[in-house]
Amino acid sequence: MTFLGKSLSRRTVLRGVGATVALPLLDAMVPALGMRARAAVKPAHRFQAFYVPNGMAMEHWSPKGEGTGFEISPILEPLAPYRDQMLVLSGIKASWNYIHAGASGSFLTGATRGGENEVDVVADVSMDQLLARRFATETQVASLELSMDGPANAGACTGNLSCAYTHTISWRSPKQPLPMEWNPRAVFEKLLGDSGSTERSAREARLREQKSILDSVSEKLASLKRDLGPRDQVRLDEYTDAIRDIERRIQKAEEQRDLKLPEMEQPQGVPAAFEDHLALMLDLQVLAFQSDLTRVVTFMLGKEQSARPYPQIGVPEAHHPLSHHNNIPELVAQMSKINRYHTQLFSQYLAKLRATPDGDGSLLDHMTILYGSGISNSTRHSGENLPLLLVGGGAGRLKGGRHLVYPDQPSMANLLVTLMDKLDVPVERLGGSTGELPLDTLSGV
Amino acid sequence: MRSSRPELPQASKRRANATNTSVMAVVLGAVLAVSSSAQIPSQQTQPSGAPTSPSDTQAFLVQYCVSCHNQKLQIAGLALDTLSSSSPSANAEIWERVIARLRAGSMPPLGLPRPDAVAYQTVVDSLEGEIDRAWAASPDPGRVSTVHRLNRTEYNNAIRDLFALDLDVKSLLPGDETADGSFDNFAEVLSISTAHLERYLSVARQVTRLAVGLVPVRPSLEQRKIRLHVLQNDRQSDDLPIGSRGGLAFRYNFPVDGEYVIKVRLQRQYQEYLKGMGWPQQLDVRLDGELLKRFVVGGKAQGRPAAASYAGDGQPGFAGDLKWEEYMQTGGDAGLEVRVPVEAGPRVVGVSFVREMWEPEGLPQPLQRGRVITNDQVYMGYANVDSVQIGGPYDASAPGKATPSRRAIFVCQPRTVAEERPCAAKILTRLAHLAYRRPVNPADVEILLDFFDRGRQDGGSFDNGVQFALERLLVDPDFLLRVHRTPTAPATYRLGDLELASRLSFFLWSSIPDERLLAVAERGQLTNPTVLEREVRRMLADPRATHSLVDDFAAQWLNLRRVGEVVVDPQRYPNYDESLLQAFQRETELFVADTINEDRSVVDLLNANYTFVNERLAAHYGISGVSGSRFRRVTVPDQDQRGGLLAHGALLATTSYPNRTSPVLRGKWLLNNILGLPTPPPPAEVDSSLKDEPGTRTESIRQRLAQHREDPSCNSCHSVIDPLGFALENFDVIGGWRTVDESGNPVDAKGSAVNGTEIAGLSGLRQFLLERPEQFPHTVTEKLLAYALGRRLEYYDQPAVRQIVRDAAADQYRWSSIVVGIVKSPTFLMGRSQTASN
Repeated sequence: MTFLGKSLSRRTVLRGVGATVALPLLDAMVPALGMRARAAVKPAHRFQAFYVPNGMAMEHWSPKGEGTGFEISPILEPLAPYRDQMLVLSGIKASWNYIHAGASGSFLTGATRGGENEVDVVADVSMDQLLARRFATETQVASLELSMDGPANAGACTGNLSCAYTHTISWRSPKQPLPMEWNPRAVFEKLLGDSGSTERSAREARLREQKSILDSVSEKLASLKRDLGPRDQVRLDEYTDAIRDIERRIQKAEEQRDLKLPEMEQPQGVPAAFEDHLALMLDLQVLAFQSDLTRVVTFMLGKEQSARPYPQIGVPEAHHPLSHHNNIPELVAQMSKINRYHTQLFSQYLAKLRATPDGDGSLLDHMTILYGSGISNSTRHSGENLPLLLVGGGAGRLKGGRHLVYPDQPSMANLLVTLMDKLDVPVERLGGSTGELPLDTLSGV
Repeated sequence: MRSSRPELPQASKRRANATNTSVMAVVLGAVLAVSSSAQIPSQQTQPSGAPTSPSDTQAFLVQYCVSCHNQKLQIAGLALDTLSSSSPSANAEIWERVIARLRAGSMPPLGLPRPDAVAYQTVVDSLEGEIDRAWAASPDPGRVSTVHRLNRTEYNNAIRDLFALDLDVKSLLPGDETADGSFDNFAEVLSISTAHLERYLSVARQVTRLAVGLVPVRPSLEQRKIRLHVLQNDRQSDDLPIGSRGGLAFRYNFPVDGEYVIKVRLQRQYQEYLKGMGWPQQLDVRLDGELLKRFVVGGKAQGRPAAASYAGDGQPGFAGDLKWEEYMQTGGDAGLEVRVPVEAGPRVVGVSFVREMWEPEGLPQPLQRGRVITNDQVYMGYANVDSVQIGGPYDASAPGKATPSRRAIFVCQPRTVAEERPCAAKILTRLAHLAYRRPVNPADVEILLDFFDRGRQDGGSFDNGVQFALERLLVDPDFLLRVHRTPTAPATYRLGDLELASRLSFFLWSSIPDERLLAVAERGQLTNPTVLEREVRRMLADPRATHSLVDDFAAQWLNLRRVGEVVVDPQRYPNYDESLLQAFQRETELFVADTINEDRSVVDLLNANYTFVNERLAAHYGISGVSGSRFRRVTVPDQDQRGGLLAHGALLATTSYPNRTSPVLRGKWLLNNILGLPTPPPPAEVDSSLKDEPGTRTESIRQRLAQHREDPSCNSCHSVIDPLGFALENFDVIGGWRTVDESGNPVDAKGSAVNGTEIAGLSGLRQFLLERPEQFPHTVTEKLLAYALGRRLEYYDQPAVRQIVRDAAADQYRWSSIVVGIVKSPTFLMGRSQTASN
């Protein structure tokens, strides 16, 4: 982050004082560009969910041993370089264990139930959206919801339920699942604008145009609302909220008009090859975090129930049917190749985050990444002992290098509440949570 | 409408199917293993005439049903002893569940006494008859959620109709909420997120700038890429010349008059060597069919080549001379570009090779998949086009004067500054009328004129003003949302003319009404039944109707949108390639379109003796005498092997796994989409008492599924699903006919239907379906009605479905009879007010 280059790093100050107590803010710590005080004083703590579908070959995932001395497993092996910033969590149970829909539908919502039929779409607000609400006051983009899969086509979802459950993990309200963007071009425009130009004047002119359009639409919407009964206004409220979101973003962009945006060529569309597509999507995420355009990203490496084959690693079988392996060891081993391939890809992403300086450390130091799946053993859609990782320095709030085993099957919802605490946006309850989960004590050691 | 009360149902014309998911969940879940002796009564055996007396029905229920479904046991939550069977309409929700079970022939369960066929039929007739009569006297039309967002398809079509602009913006918009067995136009679930609004803002700008013909901010570069594993050994498109090979043709909207660069990139294999560089081949670039330039590619490699198989990875000794390497990696397709002045508007860009015959020697290699072409024997093969880029405009002169979209927008041209605002008002009034689908008022126009003024000022031209006003128009709630305003009383009401016009156009065209339809509605004539039917038939005859009923309705109903997601294991199916998948999709589209255009019976979808193929598909199906890439109608040589949707590659491939067929997916598809019996999802709860013990591998899919069905929680549904899917076992993963299955055993295509009837193979399955002539039309009607309304069907819609099917029977279930039946149904013409309960 070049615009932070001239400021005095927090670590430097601390070394000089030799203290561990909280320090008053010093002018010297405010970065050269003034308006970015918060970033320099305290590097923002970012959150990311990195979802992988169809459960896990648990025999190849679960590490042997607990605490700091755990033995890394074959699937986790690509993440060995990040061991000291990684917490492996075992024994946590899905809050809503329902085939595939529950796996992704409850992953960040902590929901305990879903809808009754195709049009009854209900879960709970997801933790990323609770964070987004909070961080929206500080960043231009409240949150990014991204996926490697295109919009749902009916026919491959969890029968009789909305495809939303398998295609997104982000829920703005219990009734509003958020679409996940898979087109890198749309993500690019969301981050850097759609003026077709990177020049500041063009970008700002475009923001003014958008603002005038939104003002006018707001007025019209208000009069439309007066025509309708309260029950019919829900959808219009969504529209109003969307307008407010964008207006707030425009305002933020104006406030942060000196924010230096990294150069990136505008992507044209969705590349045909998975690896090319993934590389673009991950680069966009690094860009978004690095320039502090957003602090919350949810990413699905595959939609739940994904049937993507991976011939490039010798798995021509479709992922979802392979995940119903009937515990036949050869098939489980075959599926574990996909699981390991995913951790490899994740590890490449971590490498980029670690290589990106941020404040007094790296981006990775200032992130909490929840990696995992909403199913453990996939052959029977088991929701017990979910495969979960917390990766990143958590801005000093996470102590990695440990394998925590929870013997009493706490709900995933409790983990989410704990994470909210770690991100300094405490909530009392999330979905079906019943409390918090101890992360800081070593269990079983 | 109310005056045309339905006649008493003709029993022989009916077969009920549950729409309500929960209904079928129980039908399939609770019942099963019905013996073949307990078949559903055939039509011939039932009596004609008046229904039985209520007391007969009551006696039937007492004898066969209430021993389980009583207040005490309440099996499946049913206490039939507490309900009066003489007026089932009072508890229609429950009785429709009973009707569905009896119609499916799945109750009472095997082993318990079953009534004879006549008794079955009379009881069902009696129950349906009373419900239908009560409905006819006071129909419940249901309620579509008040706010109904346009989905991506509708938005895209509306843009096409407003601006005469053929442009696919769907990939720039978020997906629409949907579910299996559902459609992506259900009002209740179409939400409006921030992502939606962001994209609407962005797309509105792009679309209106292009439509108006503003000079782009800066030249852009757009690329069309050919998917890697599409074959390029034939003429690829009707827009390319006869005698051409490979490449592609596509329509591109040139925004303004100016210079553009068309640049071609050729395909490379896994080591980045260009394919087909061993010999000279002619490459043509065309615009609207006219040759712009002919290039010669290949044949100019100099120096020592790499090892013949390109083995190794470029280490010394394996790589060729520098000159050779450079030619093979970059030089071979350098400079394949033409810079030409182009007049604004949609034009066809064509890139293709001149066809020269070339036959591969030796064994054909399996086509690969993934991100690279790994086949290395390509030096002497065909060169292929990888992508075509269009850059520009450079030296943009002025907006095109006569593009179709400018003609559609600019109905006037101001000669003086004073004329500008009146002209803008005229333009915007006309377009807002169409976009808002209602008469516009001065306030509407004033808002748009305000944006005209701003655009005029900021951009400096009249066109800039019009563009900005149109950009504003495209994010107006009146455009993006259909708002179904409902009166608070009476409980049910007839839709007004304007609302009916929109409902009609979104049903038949997935788009906004045209000027004529709006005019008819604004004169208050659309609610006149004669006028309404005339308009429906006019709209059906419009190509937009076929287009939308195929690409929107049928594509979702038949899962055609999933063809692009199909993956096939190339080791097992070396004869597969993406051209075949594309052909599958095209076949079904053309076939369904043909039945609509010719107004055939929907039953023909199952038993037609013809289909549509090109050479690639004909070879796959074993049909001789078809050459070239153009699709044409052919009579199938053997109706036991082909004919009708059930033998279409699109269906068979989308219900298979990459390396094996799936009787489960096929059985489920047939139940949901053909028989109209939605299957419930697998049980949710994981029985943790069951240890995850390693299973054993079985060779045949039949054995494997038999093992699966040993689990009682699986068996209850899979004993219905799987046997139906077995009937299609003669078709392999990619829909090829086979007599030996994956495990090397002779194909066993014996299966059975829900009621236990044994069916064997495609012809057996088809025969079973045709023996119940109203069943498939009932399914089509349910699907089409839900799609037409944009909501899920409920139990109270069943009388409407039965009435439409009965009426259509007199016209052999032609498409038009079902469509007209839907439009004239109270369910389509009426609404339920918000306060009314159902």
